[in-house]
Amino acid sequence: MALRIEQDFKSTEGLCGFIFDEDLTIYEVETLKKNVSNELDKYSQFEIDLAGVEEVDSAGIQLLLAFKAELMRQKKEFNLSAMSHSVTKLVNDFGLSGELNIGDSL
Amino acid sequence: MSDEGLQIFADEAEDLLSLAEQALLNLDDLNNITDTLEGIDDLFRTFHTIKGAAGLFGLNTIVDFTHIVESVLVKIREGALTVDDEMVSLFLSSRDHLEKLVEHSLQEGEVLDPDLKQNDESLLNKFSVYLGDSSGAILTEKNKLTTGQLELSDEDDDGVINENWHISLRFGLNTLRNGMEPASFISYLNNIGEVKHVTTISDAIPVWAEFDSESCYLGFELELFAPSTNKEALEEVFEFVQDDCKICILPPHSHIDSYIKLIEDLPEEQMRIGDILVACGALTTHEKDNILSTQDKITDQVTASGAEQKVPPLGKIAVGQQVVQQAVVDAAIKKQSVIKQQQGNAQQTIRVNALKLESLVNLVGELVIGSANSELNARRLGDSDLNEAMGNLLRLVEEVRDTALGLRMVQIGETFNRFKRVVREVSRDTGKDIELRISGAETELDKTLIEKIGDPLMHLVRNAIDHGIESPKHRLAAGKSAKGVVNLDAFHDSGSIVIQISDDGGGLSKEKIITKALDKGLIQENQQLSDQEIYRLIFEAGFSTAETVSNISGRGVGMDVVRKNIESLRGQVELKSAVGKGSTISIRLPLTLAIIDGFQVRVGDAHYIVPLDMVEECIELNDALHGGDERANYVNLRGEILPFMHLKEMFGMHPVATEIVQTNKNDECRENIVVVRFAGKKAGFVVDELLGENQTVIKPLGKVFQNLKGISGTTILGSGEVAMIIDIPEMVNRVIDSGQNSFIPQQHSKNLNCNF
Amino acid sequence: MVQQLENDKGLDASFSAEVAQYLTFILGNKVYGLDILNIKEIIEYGEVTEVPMTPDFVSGLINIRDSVLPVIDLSKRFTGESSRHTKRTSIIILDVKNEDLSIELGVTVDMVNEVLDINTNEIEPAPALGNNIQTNFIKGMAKVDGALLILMDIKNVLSVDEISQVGSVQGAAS
Repeated sequence: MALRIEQDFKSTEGLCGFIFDEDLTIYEVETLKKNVSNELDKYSQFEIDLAGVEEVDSAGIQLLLAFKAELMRQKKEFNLSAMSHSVTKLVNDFGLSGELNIGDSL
Repeated sequence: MSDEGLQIFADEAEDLLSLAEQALLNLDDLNNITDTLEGIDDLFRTFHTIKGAAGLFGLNTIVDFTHIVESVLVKIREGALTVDDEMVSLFLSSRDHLEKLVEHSLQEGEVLDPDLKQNDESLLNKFSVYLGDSSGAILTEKNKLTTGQLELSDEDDDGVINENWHISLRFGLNTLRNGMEPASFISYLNNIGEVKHVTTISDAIPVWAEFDSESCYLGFELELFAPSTNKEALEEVFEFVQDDCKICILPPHSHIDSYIKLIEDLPEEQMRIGDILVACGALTTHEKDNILSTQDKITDQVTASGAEQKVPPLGKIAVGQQVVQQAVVDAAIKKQSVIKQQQGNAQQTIRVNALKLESLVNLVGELVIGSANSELNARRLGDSDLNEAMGNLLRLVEEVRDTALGLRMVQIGETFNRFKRVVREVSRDTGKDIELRISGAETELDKTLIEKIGDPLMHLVRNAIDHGIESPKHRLAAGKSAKGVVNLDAFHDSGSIVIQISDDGGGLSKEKIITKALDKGLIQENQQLSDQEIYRLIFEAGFSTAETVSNISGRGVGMDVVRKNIESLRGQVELKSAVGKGSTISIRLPLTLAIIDGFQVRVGDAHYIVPLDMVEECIELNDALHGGDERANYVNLRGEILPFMHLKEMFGMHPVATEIVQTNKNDECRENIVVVRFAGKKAGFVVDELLGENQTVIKPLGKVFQNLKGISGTTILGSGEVAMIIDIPEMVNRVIDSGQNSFIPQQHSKNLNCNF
Repeated sequence: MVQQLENDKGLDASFSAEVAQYLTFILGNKVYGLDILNIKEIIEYGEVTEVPMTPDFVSGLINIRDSVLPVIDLSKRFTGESSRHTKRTSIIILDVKNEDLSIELGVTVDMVNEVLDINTNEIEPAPALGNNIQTNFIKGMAKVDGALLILMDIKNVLSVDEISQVGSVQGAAS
């Protein structure tokens, strides 16, 4: 499963961890969106771990952006904890290193 | 390619090359940088047009060669090279070479003969010196020869934001579904150049609930550093998504100047703004079409809403869409208005086959004779309606005549301009400093005259430079300026065209001429000669006063051949000179060869024509004018002394039987004097009857009568009779010469005194 | 009026010699012949306009279909005696070659006769006859039906260079 969802991630109350294990491309985004949607309303903090992502494309990046935007709208926390090499590259190519970087929260 | 097409190309190239020559020669005369740059622009335009046309015909040698010439011109324009004498000479040589290449292109096959090939290479080598390194520069230039657009060199520095292309992308919703990946475009761009900056625009992403993860809502703003590419190439990158996506490519700021320059260099045709922008590369065709359809949509909306709104012009839309800078649009607008103005002023010209024109003029001649004949017959019938109709017809025929003859008139300026080059080269060769001044370039001559006068004129100009103008050393020693001046002038004067070549050189010494003439046995000792006659000796065969005969003018063969050439055109040549001051040679030529307005007279049984434009007036010959002395050969014409002669006598004709003289109504002996003027001289000729104006179609005399003096041609009258055209210049000279030699009134040997 | 050139019964040429056709005509009381190769047409004597300051043998100019051609009095040129203008007087229009140019002109003759075929071997060289006739005008003589035919050399008779000296004859002015 591409996405591992861990409630009470890192033993923090209310923190949901999304761990993306495999690819983050157009082929997966539909499913991923559904999975993420299920957890959206339940939590107020989210942490994303992209260290395990091998292949990533625009659809994947777009998904991340959409998710982040939604969290901002709901005034929830968004934290990107790790990025694989391919993710970092694409984020840089898209000039999004300001938007999608490790460590910063909202 | 069709032969005819090639011929048209060759003809146009010829015109362009002669323009190029003029432009090059003008460069010599220019002092300020603005004019020089304009001159360079003119030259660039000319070579550019030739290159384009040659490209159409696949004439690669010409294309390649012209391209190199263009490149050097560009460098001059950019300030990287300056124009100097050597460069102008190199350009002149390449112009000549191009001429040969064009000629060659009319034959089959691309293979150049060895001479041409060698010349080609040697010129290219010389150019490459200007372009930087020897073969590298040429090759780079040749490789850039694909789009005909101006391409920047690789030396441009980067880092400044305005050196970058600004590409704005808004991908369509289905982009991802269609299998396209925006990231791959960005990496492809990184192959072409360097993507300096990317901004991802994500504000099109809808709220999570409506967000379709498989649709594409992304947009990008890119800064691309890619100096050696152009809009077309960039547009091609997005070929597969261009239908769905919004793509705006804005060229780097630094390109503005080159776009503007390209716009200025566009040919002088009416073009719409969109087309101008596409032509210079600031817009791609695709972009232009998009804008046009946007315009259409706006137009529809405005019409539908009925509002009083102005549809924005294409330029404005383009700037709004961020596909072109305002400055470039401004340049395009300016170009458009310049062309409009020029076209308003420019003369529309059309090339005409010379043979067709000749046959037209011949036919018009026949028409003139035929209508004169008809008019004569009509008059006999005495029908007034018919006479009126004939009168109208004759007037129309006269207009047709004037127009047809006018077609053959060409400005002499073209011929004069050729001499600039001659002067330049000869001055260099002889080490003299000479300026050629030209006036009266708009004066028009019959085409055939222009062609035939070229060589004699060339010779005279060369002569003036060679023998007339002294070396700078001599001139300074004589208290003159080091620079000598040769003047070429042309103007109309009483039915003739006068071409004058004058120089402020050393002049001709009468004594030297006389000595030489005596030496050559052309004159006798103690022969009395007027100044005119002395100078005329120059034109005798075998004459040359120069101490050293230079290669340029050749041995004395020159002047007498020049005179013969001019006389065969029914012209005259005359020389005036002042020692130490200079000389002036005047050539007089008849304005037309074919049809003139004539004044018909009867002398004895025969009819003669006097060219009307030389006729001043007609007066009666009577006692009052004679001042009572019937033997005088001059009359008092309102205080002026007018010499005259009887044509009958001059023609050595038999005295007329008195019956004819008496047919005059009033039974008086009335003779008329036709007063003519030529070259400022006036004379009178007594004739038996004045017969009025007549359209005279000149039939040349032919070889049999070529030495006949006094008659310059014949014509056919309406009656079918042959009438002779009097050579007024010759006759006037005779009257004056005879008058000069004896002031005593002549005794008339024939009994022309009528005491009735 | 243009007279058609009529061909007489052709004398068959003997194998080696050439046969040429000659137009025969009368000047004064003698018969002459001209090679028809140079002849363009024959017309009636018409209006000839005198040209001043020309030698006597130049009759003047004539208008033929809007072309102006010079006319030479052949009798005057050849024999020194002027042509008598009768009803039978004709003008033969010739095409004379001079260097590269061909010049059209007319010559007046008293009367035109028939065209004869004459074999080259029938032509004898011209004897030195009376002083009126310049020998270089004559190509040769031929006997036809007992009569003597003088064959003219058109090029010499009408040597254009000579004729064009006409202009050098000045009028009797002053």
